[in-house]
Amino acid sequence: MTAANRRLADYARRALLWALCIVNLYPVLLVLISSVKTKRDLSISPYGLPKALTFEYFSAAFRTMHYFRSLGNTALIGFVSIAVTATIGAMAAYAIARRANRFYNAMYLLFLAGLIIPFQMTMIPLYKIMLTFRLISTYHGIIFIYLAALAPFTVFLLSGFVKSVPRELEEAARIDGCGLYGTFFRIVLPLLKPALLTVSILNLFTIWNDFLMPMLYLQDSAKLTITVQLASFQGMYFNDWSLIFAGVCMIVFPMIVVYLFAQRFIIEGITAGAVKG
Amino acid sequence: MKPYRLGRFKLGYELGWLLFLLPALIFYLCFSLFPMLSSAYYSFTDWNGVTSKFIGMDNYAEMFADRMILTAFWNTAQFTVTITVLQNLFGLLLALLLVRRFAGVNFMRSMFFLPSIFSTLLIGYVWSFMLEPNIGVVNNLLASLHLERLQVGWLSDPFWAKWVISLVTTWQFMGYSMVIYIAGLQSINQELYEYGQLEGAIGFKKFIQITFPLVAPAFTINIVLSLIGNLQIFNQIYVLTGGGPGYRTESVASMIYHLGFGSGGSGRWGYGSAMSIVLFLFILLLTTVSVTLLRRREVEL
Repeated sequence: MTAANRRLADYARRALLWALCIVNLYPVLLVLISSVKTKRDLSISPYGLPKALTFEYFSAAFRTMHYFRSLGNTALIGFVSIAVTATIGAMAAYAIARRANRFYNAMYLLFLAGLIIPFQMTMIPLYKIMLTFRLISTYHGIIFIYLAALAPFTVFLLSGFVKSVPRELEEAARIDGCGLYGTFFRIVLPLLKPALLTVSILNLFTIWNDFLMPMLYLQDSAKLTITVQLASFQGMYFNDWSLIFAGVCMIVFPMIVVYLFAQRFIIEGITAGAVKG
Repeated sequence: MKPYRLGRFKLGYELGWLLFLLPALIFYLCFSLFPMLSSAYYSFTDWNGVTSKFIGMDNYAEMFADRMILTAFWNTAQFTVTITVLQNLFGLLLALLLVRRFAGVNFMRSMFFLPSIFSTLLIGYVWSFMLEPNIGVVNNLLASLHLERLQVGWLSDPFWAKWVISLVTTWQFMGYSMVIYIAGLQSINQELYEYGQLEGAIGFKKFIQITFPLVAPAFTINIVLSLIGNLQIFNQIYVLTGGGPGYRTESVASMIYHLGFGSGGSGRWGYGSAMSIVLFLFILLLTTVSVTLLRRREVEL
């Protein structure tokens, strides 16, 4: 193959890849385009470009979804769950990684088992527990569920990272008079910062995307999170696609922003989970 | 504050460590493990949420004679196999295409990964719209190609509904597999390819003899993740078809949901619990077997 031929083949390959990429993203682009079309425009030419831009569905979706209220709910439930999970998950991971005796190994396996428990298995008894302890439709109730649900993955991922923290640093801290907790909170936790960020972003996405648990256990519509809010109004305004797509955009936009900024951490988390396990 | 020095006893030290573990463990026990174990108990009762009576293995016996439930198990098996195969095939292909560095490669990787960060709920809305029989993009595209006879109601057709669920799931998560395969490919020592070239391994032979064996760890993790996820397949079904038409796309997980919470739900929570136990045992068995088999392939190298 001559150099010119090779270059041509390379261009062809890249053009093909760009085409693939656009086809792949078409559904995402479609949402964006459809959300600014008028209803008439959308039903006449569902996949053409908009004839005129309209933002009325955004303001309609904004009201129907109670955007700020549900965003606030998501932020409250999300941040508390994530912060607590990261802290108690790191503590458990630290004990598991450093006290690698039979008991802690068994505890590690116990947490790992959580990764394969189908949610359907806990769903119904959990409902009963929530009823008994009056946790239905409370913020703390749903937060407890998220803590339990996120714990296995968090412990799994963080125990891998703890192993990469040099023991010498901890020993030095001990010699300088740090206790067990001092060593953890002053030395280990700060060193785990990148890993904590990684796991927290992945957990944030899980909570942001979840609709089943809030749907089952948060029956008070004033407490719904943003994704469930859309699910519940989709039921009422069935087939009002303009409105639904505007709502989808409003949910997805903050995620894309987080994704673009935190990409490195997300990819790191996924591959670390895959490799260090 | 040096808790472990409070006593001279070893007990104080052990207790100190245990306190690290306890907070996470307590939440996990109360809101995951305990409900799971009580599910095991309820599977032997005819629990309807209010009253329960111990009936031994009756739920299990009934389940294996129930055509609807057997269909759900069979559907779950089909979804799992189809999606696992397709997701890994496309994930690996994308990884091979995008592992090399060139202008725009990072952007492309991000864009293929993007769908996997979205809620399946939202993904479901978009595809429901695209596959809508009258205004949907797919049928309109077929019309403009004068292929009207290929038009179907994609989500109401018993044959296609299953494929739609599988393909949409594949589309959503192939970027996720891709990321893991790229990490695997990048860890391959480039010198191996140079040796391989000397031995005459080029093109497809190079892939079979060098690349494929060396991405074995990435292969293991991808297969296991797909198995765990797809045996529990629920969201896609809930959003796209609701299990219909009839029970043609119902999976075990969606069936349990419908038994317990669905509008036509019979409140047969004991029966649903028995199904969830069988599902759990399947997942446990399949992940253990596949991890063992796939790990063995890694070791042989």
